[in-house]
Amino acid sequence: MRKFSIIFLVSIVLLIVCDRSLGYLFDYFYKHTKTGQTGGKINYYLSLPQTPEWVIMGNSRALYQIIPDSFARPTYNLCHAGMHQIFQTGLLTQMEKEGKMPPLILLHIEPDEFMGEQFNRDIQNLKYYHSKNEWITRELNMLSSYEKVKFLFACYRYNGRVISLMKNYIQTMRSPVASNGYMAIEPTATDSATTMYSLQQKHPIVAETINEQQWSYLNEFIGRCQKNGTQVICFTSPIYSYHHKSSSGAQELESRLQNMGVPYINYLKKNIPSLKQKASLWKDRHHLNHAGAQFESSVLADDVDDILRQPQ
Amino acid sequence: MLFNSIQFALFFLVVTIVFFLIPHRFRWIHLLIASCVFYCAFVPIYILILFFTILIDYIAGIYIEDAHGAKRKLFLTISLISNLGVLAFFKYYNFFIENVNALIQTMGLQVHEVPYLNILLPIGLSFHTFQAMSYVIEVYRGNQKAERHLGLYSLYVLFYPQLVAGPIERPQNVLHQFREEKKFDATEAVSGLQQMIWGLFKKVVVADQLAIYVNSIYNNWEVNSGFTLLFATYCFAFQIYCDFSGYSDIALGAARVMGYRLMTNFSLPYFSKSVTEFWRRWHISLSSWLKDYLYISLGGNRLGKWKTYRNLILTMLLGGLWHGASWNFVIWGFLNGIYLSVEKLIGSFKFQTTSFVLKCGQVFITFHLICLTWIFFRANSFKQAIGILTNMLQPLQFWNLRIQDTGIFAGMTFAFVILMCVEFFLIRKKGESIFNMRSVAWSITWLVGFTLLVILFGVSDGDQFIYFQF
Repeated sequence: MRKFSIIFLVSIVLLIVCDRSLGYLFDYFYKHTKTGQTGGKINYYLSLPQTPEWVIMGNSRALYQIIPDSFARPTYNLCHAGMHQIFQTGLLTQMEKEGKMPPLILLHIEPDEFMGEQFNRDIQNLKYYHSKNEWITRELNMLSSYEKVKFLFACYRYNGRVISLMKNYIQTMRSPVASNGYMAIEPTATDSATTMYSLQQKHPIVAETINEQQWSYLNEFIGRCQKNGTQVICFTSPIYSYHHKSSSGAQELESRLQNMGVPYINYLKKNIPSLKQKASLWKDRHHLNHAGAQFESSVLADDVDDILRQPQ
Repeated sequence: MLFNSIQFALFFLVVTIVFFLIPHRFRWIHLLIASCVFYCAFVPIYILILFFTILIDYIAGIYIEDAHGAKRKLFLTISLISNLGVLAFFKYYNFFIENVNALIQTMGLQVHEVPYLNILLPIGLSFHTFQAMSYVIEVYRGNQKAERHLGLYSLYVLFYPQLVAGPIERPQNVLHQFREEKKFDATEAVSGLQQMIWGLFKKVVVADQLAIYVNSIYNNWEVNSGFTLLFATYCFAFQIYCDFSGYSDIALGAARVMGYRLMTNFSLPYFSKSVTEFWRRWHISLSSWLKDYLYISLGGNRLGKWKTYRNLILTMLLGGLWHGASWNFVIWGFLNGIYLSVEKLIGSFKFQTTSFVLKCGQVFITFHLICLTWIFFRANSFKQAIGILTNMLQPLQFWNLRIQDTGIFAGMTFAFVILMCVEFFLIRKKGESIFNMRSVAWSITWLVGFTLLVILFGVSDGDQFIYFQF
């Protein structure tokens, strides 16, 4: 029993020491990382001496497709691939906390996301802010009844992202970042073929009614923006060869946005002629390459200008 | 209650501490209650099914032992029908109806479709059914005395570490252990904890990270081709291995902390040089069950060459069906049966070699043969499996590897390297003795090191264990 107690106690003490030490080490790396999706891009934006006038937020369909230089004002693309609304709202709360709210946010939304299943696990990508940001902490703790216990380990904030963090840290150290956040997908000779090939993928069937929990994240986002005097314009990027069928859920989403006074540009409904049936401008069914991104960005810039010109 | 949850960690801690605090005569009650609580964490009502089969088999065991002549066979038959009846009802009824309806449709008969049952499959049903059957068969064969203590027999079926996903134990190995007074043994306890943390690493760091990649490719198989699908299949091979062997390690470790020894379920199967050897190393408790109670009962290799092949194929077909009510599992079993028969036909012993290169070649071929069967195991339907195979063999788009998320890809590569290092350099050479406490420093390094790896790289919201569905 004595031997076991020694091993057990030494293991616990060593675990705590190693965990805290690694926590400090990763904190150092994290704070000095200014590139990549593991927080670097957020750090870069938050460290900008002057907040850009316009900020684009959303998933990969905005990250790879909306070129900030297409807009008349200084714009930053703060999009993160694969992230749903809860992540965007979490990120916004941190921007609010650090006083980095821009005058205008162009928010990319996916109507299907607000119908059907819940995507609240994306908040885990903001684990670094646990215990630092009230809203993020609350959402993280709500993921499971034992979530708080996991955060007793300092290292847990870097769970699943250590390698990416190290890579991004080294990249930041090698070449100082100066970017507008946009990530281009360079066109290749096989783009048309892969786009046509991707059409075989079935479009998932989504529910017809709004998922109120998902909506609450968007509602929170808009509410916080309005409270801080930030204008929000929502938009949805096109999908190749997509036949728009306006579901009752999508109509409900549009009317809710309208009621809140949020303009919504939906390119699933409103076609961009220059992109229609031109597979070479796409990387796959859902993503435009850089050539296609130039078209969408330019159309979006014009549409945003039109909205801003309208009397409030 | 999943083994990879904090809930289980707390449960295990409390159960183990109480186990050593109470006198030996109360321990079986404590473990029985704990096992019931563990099972009820899934679908509580299904524990009644377990109680029903436990009671039938307990009575059958006693009657078989006491009876003579044909009566013994009668009681064995009653017990087997009860066990298999429950299994058939819950697991195979809908599959059977699906095929009947398909047949009606094909024949163009103007009759109403037979309705399906809207029920959930009791968790781990196939495992505890086979374990219970093992008991009555062994009593019938005279290898095991009938257990007169209902509580101990119930514990044999319900013992929580192996209740929902094995190992499928034999009564000779386990029942006597419940009678023995277990004293706290520091060496055993530390070794058990080491094995548990290694199993947890395999599950949440290796299997769950691989699962993210495999799911992203297999769920979009229509848009993937060539090497991407082949690579995803390799990943699935290691995902299922780490998922299931990880579970077994946690089960073995949890039992070992309390001083109980369960049978080894995996022995580095992907280092096998033939499919025959693979089945001696993969899910050993099931493959030995199938061999002892099915293959040998069918006549084994005693009835001539062709009947041996028939028995092998039949055994593996049923082994496939044991995994799930789907034609995919039947094909998976059939392919394995064919492999075993072909190896028997050509005589795998002729290919025994001492050359390292040739050995590597044999391992390479065996691994690919097994990977072919995994496609059917992983695909959701036969059509999908054929589609995946067709896309995989597209010569024009073959050399095209889709990495998806670079962070996850790097993470799973890192985890795989650790797995290979431990398995190749430690377990392959020293066997499970690496879990035996060699020195205090070794144990502490192992425990702390792998706990940190689990915290840093483990998928915290990973899937449940694949084999729970069986």
